[in-house]
Amino acid sequence: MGGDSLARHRTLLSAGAVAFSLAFMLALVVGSGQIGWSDIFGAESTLGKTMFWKLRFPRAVAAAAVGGGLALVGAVLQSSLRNPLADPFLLGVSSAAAVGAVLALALGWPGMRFGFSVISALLCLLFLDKVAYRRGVFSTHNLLLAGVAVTYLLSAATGVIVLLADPTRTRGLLFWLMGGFSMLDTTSTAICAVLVGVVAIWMQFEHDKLDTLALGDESAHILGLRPNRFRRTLFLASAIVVGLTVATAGGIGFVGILVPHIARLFCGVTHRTLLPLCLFGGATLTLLADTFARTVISPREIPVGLLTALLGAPFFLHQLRRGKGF
Amino acid sequence: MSFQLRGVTVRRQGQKVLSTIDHGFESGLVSGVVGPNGSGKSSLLRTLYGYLEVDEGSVILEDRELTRWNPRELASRLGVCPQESEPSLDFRIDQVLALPLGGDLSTMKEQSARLDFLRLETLYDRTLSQLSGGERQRVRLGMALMKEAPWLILDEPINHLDLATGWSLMRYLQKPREGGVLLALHDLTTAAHYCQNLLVLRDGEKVAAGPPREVLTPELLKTVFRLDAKIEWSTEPPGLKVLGVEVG
Repeated sequence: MGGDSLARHRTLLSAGAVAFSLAFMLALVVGSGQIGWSDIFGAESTLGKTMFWKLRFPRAVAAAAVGGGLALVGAVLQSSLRNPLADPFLLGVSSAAAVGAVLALALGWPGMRFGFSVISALLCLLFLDKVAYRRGVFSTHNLLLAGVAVTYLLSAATGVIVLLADPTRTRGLLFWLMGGFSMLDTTSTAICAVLVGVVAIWMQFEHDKLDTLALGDESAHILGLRPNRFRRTLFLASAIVVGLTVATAGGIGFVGILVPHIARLFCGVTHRTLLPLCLFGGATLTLLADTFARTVISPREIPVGLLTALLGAPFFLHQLRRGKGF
Repeated sequence: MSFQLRGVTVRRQGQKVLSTIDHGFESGLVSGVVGPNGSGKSSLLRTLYGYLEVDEGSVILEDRELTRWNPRELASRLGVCPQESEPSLDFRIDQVLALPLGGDLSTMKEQSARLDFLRLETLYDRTLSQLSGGERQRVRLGMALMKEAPWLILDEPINHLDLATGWSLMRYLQKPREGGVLLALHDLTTAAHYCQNLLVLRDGEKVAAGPPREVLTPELLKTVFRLDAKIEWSTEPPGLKVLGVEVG
């Protein structure tokens, strides 16, 4: 990396870090109820202290981890499948994770939803991976079409589970499905944040391999990377992130498409800058969306998933109309 | 040192694209693979760089079976230019050219200066989607030649190139190197002039092999290429003239 691009890399990452920090602080400060410094760091337990450490702080961490994770996975799937439309939601991976989580919730085992959703996301990606290989050749086309079919099938399955579930749980299930951060617990938020962080660090170490894979399977092979094996490893990492984020916050769509596309406008397609920028961008966007969602018609909440869809879908259609793939 | 195919059969989608090919490419030579469309030229090269898996037989590079090479090590021994670009992300050209060197832009610029006939520096600031067919070919060749790998495998290297660039490339390939140069070519005149050895394929089978003057006969042109032609050899370039062509 030359001097110019290194400087640009640093500038962009600094800007991303600043935006993220501001959004994070905003999410902590804004909201119903007054919370002062003494509440946050004071020794005695006050209502403010409980609100801050049990509600607002975990919620901000969850929003950041979920947004960052989804943007990261979106970028990685788009590169490894070389398709601008690739996204955990479009491929049905999120739907699979949702089936797992909804099943756990409907059965009254909310604590199991992480395990359930990660496993079902992984099963979905492994299935798609199998479908995508036609006679040993990887077909992005097949993968995306299979993803569409899987999404419909699994959405139907989710619907059936919701219908059959105990009516007292139905409203909560539906709200969760629309995507939001209102039913969090500290432990699972911590697990989600730590694992998203681990996957992000691993992907950063593999940034040059991601560049190579983004050039095409044959080109990657020529440069000494075995594309199928590496793609499967990426799928595993992606399934972990998608499973955790969906179990944490339900269906938050379009972050995985919106953020990487905007990030590429600034930093181009190489992953060294793209990945951290997506992480910061996804976290920032989701933090802002969640802060807005819980304050604008307070004390009621708008599901964050609706907000990101309202923002993301028109942008996505605009990109599609301009015909600018990446 | 050599690059050997031993009884190699490759099937794709149930069809044989190469059948029991025995052939050795020697180091120090420019070898051409020729044959009509669909005869298996590209499949043969792809088998040599391991992108197509062998169903029967084996490929041996420098006394080691291809499958036993570490992928990175293999990539440093082979400089490969595939025939077409695949759909990919819209990289900037300097980034693409640096990929074979692990992203090292300064070494990439030194190497580009060495490969001056490709005029790569004029493309640095553009992206893949902004290039013409010929410019893309220059980038693919640049990537293949970037590492100074001992063996070069180039599939239709002068396709899309203007004449001056194409001839400069073919002259560049004549320079002595540790390994050898393997080219798939559809133009027999180019093949005859620039290759010391030819392998002729038809329907995935080896039909003939040897120095161009021995291999390219009117009978072979008729049976393999469906051409009724007279051949005139000269000591001056282009060396071979195919005269009085009638397609039969």
